[in-house]
Amino acid sequence: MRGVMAVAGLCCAWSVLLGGQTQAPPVFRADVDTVAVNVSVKRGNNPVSGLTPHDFRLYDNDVRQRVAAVSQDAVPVDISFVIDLSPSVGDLETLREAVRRMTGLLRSTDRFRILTMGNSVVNAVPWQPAGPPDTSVVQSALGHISLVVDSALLALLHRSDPDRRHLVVAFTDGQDICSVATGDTLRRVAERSDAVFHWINIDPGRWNPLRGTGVESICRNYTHSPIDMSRFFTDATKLTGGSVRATTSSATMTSVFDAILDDFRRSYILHFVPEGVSREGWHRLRVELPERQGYTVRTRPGYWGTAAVPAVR
Amino acid sequence: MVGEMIVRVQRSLPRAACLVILAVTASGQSAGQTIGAPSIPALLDRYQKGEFDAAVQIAAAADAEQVRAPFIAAAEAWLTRDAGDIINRRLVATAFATEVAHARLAYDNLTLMVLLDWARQEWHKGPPTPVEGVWTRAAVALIERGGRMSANRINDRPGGQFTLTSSRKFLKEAFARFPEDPRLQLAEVAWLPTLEELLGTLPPPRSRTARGLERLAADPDVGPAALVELGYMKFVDKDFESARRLTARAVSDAKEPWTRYLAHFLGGVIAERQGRFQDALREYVAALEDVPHAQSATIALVPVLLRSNQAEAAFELVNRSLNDRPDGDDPWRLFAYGDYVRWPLLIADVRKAIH
Repeated sequence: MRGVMAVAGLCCAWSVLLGGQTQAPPVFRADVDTVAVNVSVKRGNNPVSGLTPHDFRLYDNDVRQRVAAVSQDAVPVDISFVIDLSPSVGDLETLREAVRRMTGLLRSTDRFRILTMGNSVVNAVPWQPAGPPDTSVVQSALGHISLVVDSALLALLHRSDPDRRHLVVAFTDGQDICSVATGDTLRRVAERSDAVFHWINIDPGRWNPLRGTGVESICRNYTHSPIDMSRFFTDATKLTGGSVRATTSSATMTSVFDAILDDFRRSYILHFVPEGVSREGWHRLRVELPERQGYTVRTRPGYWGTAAVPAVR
Repeated sequence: MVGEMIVRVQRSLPRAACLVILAVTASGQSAGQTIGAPSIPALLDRYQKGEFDAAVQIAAAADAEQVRAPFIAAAEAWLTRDAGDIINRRLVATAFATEVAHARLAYDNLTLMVLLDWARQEWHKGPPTPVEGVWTRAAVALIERGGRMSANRINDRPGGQFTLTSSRKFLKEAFARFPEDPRLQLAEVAWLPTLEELLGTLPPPRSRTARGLERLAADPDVGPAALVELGYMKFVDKDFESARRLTARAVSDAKEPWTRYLAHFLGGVIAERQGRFQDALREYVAALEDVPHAQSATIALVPVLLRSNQAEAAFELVNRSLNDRPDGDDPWRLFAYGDYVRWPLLIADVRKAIH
């Protein structure tokens, strides 16, 4: 049952907190049916630490499940930065400086990559360990179009190693020109992605979309006008348990990212083996903290469970 | 207004002064650095000797003002240095200018138009020749890319309007000198109407464009590309059945993998619109056989795979696409830019013609 957040077919080691024990980290071994769900718990704006499996109540398709373990903080993070380099977002040097500062916030066990968008989605910095990136490769690509949907889709379609988790952070104004993928496809991919997806909406509302000529005649895409993809981006973030943040300029990107990363590190991964539900199809998830009043719980609304199927070819 | 500005810049730099500025030699200049004034004559000599990439890299790294008026002044002086084989020297100078403009394409459309306009005028000093035709094909492909890139930002960059106007002039004169060249005919039929539309002038009726493409569809060289263009037109018009027939014909006629890719890709999109999802899957997979790991077909495959519960295959395909084609360019991403998809071949032909 490899759902979007499931750890399927894998024997993996996790550093976890088991039932509140904090001595030498035990090893959690996930079997083929184990599902891992990222859950952010906050009181006000502050992430809450120290919760144990007994604190959580988890429902899969309205059937209560036993939370086998929770892990937090120590799990290394894979971060996909998706950076819109269109003129609407900011000048290149400011973006490069922001990238340098953001990657400086990572731990030595973390990894990151940078996807940029121009005439195509560019894998500008492939996966690399934490450390200063060569930001000269972050360049305004040819084309001057904004493939925001295609970029987010490609970022979300990544499976991290089972002992890591994946955070996608997109810096864009959400105005798409010429993507092949539709907003609906982005939603469906978000439902199946392991990642938690956050969208930092840079200077919302400032951008003045192309008018009059129609994109069809410009980029020969089969969409008829520039599309504001905000609602699809918002949906996609919710489907992964992420969020939408706004910032007024690329210069403040770092502080917004810092808050997202801190929230992500301090969020919990709940591990459970689904019982009393069928393997396939959409699984609605609900997570509660019945004994904790005034806490906010944010998680994905569900995941896809699939049976093994033949490969494409 | 931008055009006027360029004229002013050119007039304000006397050629003698430019030559003094250009006395700096190119030696010791490393690629990628911005440099003030490379020695254009020395670089033209290197280019003629076959050191194409090195010469272009150095010249392209120069300051913006150095690769416009001073570049032209130096190139004209170089052309008159040896009157022996003026056609070949003209090819060297114009090819070099074209490649330098190409290297700066991402950020400097103004240089593109200034250098190509100069090169065009240089060729027009004599009657059309076969080597001029070889150069013109490459230059038109570059204009198709540069012009449409400007179109994408026409509303917020004044340079966009200038580039479009210059592109139209360039293309019309190219067609006038080589009216029998099918590649140029295709550019005229497929790209010029869009240019007119973007400039706010009255484009030819779509029926005339369609007739032009139908006429070219029988051409052994550009026929498959014309079929793809025509298929795309029908697709936009929501005549999916005609579009399907045309792209299928393009698949069987095409010899170049990128043309087959486009035909398969569009075939997949059309099949999806018609609800033939298995056919769409087959078309996208066939496209990826022609251009492995291409980004556009990979992305197009994703919803088809999700629909058939093959999400893991989608993850794998995307992973391979990003790793194996990190720049992401593929024939569909370049479809907007006409013959530019063939730029590597076209500029190789130009280089081969130099002696």
